[in-house]
Amino acid sequence: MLPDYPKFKTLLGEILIERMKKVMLASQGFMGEVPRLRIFEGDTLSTIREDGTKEASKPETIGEEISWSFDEIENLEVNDVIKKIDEIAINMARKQSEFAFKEITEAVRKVGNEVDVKGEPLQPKHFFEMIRKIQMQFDVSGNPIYPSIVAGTKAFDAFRKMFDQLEEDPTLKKEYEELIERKRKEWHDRETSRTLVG
Amino acid sequence: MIEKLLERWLDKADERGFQGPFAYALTKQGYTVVHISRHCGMELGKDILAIDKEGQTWAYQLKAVGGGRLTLSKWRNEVQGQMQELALGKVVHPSIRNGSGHKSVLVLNGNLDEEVQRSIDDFNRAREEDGTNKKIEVIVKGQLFEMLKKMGQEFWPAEPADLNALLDLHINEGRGQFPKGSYSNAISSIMRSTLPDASRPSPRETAEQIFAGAIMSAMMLNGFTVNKNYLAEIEAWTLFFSHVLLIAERWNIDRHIWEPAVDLVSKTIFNLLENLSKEVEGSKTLSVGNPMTDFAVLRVRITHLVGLFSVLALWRKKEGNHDDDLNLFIRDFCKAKFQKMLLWGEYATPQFLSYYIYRRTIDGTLQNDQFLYVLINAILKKNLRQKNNKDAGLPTPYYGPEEFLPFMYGIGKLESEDSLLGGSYSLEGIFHLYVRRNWKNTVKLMWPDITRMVHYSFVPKYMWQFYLWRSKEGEHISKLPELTQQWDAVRRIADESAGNDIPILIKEYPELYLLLMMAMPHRLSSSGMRWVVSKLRF
Repeated sequence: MLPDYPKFKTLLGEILIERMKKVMLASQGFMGEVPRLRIFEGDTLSTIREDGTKEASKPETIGEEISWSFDEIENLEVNDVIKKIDEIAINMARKQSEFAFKEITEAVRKVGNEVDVKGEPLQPKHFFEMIRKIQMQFDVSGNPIYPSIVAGTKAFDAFRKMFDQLEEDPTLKKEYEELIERKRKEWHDRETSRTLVG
Repeated sequence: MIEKLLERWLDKADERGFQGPFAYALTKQGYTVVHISRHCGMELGKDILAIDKEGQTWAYQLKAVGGGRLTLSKWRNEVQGQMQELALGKVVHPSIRNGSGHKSVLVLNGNLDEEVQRSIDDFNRAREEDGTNKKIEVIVKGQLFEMLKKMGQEFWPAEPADLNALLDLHINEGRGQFPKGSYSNAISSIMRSTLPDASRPSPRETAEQIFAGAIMSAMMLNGFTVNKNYLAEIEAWTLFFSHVLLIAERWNIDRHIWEPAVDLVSKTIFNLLENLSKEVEGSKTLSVGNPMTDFAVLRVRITHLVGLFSVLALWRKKEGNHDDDLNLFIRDFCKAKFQKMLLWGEYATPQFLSYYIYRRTIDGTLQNDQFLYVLINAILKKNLRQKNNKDAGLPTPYYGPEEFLPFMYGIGKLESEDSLLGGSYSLEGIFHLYVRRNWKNTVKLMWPDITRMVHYSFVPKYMWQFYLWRSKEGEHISKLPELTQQWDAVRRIADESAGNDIPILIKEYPELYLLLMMAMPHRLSSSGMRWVVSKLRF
């Protein structure tokens, strides 16, 4: 065989994988903040909700391929490899996020939690509807833990505009505050319902 | 190649090393092994007692001579007295009829010097002349090797990858944790009826696989046995036991085919536990090696020891050993050390569970309930996802000490970027045990936090997959508890003890179930906890 240097290559491989993980996490944005748990065995993931309903899904393999021609291989520099690793990491992160959002969308649809703006521009009434449909969390002092909004550039601008509108219009602002208050009450009711009776 | 390896291993093995394979070889020939030695000072002269198909008792004395010769001086100084005592004395054992007579055999992993052969011949001639006929027979290396070679040879690893796995373990220095994942892969390639795509084995194939598994396990354990790494040996034989039960249960194999092997492995594990307890009893400290580094693992070690000794005590109780010195030592050790137990991860839960079960047999106070209460609160404190919880959380039972301790001390990373907060694999089961104790008001106080946790479990697709180290098929469940529940309903679940998600055969061996859970903590379920606590109620 040709001379080889496996010890160093293993070390370098570990460093590159570590970089890949970091880039993936950074490019996942919001999804990178979602807590994760490694599942070591099995082929089905199930969630049993508080109301006893069950949701099952199959894990999906997400992968990316690297291909280099023999000519390219012989001329590879460290920067080429890093560039490729980053590219793969970003693609993997995108695929992972897409898969997660696909799962979330399906689950949301199934329980009727979708809000359809029916082609209208985003308005406070749509946002209020969204808030109405979700379970909101509050901290121990009762302060709202606002949900994250994941949006594309266009939608993001629309949200920003809608928030400005909400801030400027006292009627809408009041309506929003009342909505948050209702959510606080729901949260409070939910927390106080954590009881063993009898 | 394996034959060469077997020969090399046999040459180097000590008595403890080749005792197991020799006992399995006897079982293969239809003997019932009723006793195997722990190799401690008290049992000189009879390492194995077995009864053959005709009811004849055989007493074996094993001697390791490193593949060389038993010299006259060694014979005179160490062996002759024991052998003569064995041949002329009585064999007393509950399974052996009084006065039934026995045959005595010296088993060597080497040969005899001519002078030794002559000495044995002289002894035997004298027994012929005095009419007692109490002779000494000898099995030498060549015969022993031939016996072991016939142990399921068709199932010995042949593929390079399988051979590599076996070799890797065989050359392991044997001082650290036992590589359970590697062993499980290796043993599955030998006991092939455990593989997903296997077909039903014939009775002969079943027996051969078990024998092949036994002898290959002994070879894989080589370094661990030499170093008297009892924990590693206990874990390895427990996993072997699990694979035997897997085949038996999956293929509904007739009991007489697998039960002798299970009896033998049970005796081996029992002896290893006693050896470990004796080692601890004779040690001045529980620390190993350099205290500058050992301090970081001492409580992890103590936790495991308390768990293991608890199982031993429960097992000895069942065997009828009540108030001997070892029992007293175990009781005092556990009582003195339990406060140093450390819940460093859910991997340690079966160790705590074992102690809880044992503790109930030696302590009738309410402190047993307090023990559960502390355990529940420790898990909640560590794993509840709340603003003021600065803890990283307890690792899931899939992380062993070697994987998690570097992370715990901030000098290493977890393999995956797990968030350990918010859920638990073992909280629900321990909570049920506490509910059984009827502390209704306290339970009501802890209930809100119980509902804030996600309760994880894994259910293999087929029951037999429970016995596997990892099962590719199965359902990982994340359960969010119903927020409002009736006390009576929770109590009903807590009182249930049928163990419906545990395979049938393991239920015959509750002590080994606890050991299996210590070796594979990810198999411990709420239902399993409820079952074993009910089963081992004395």
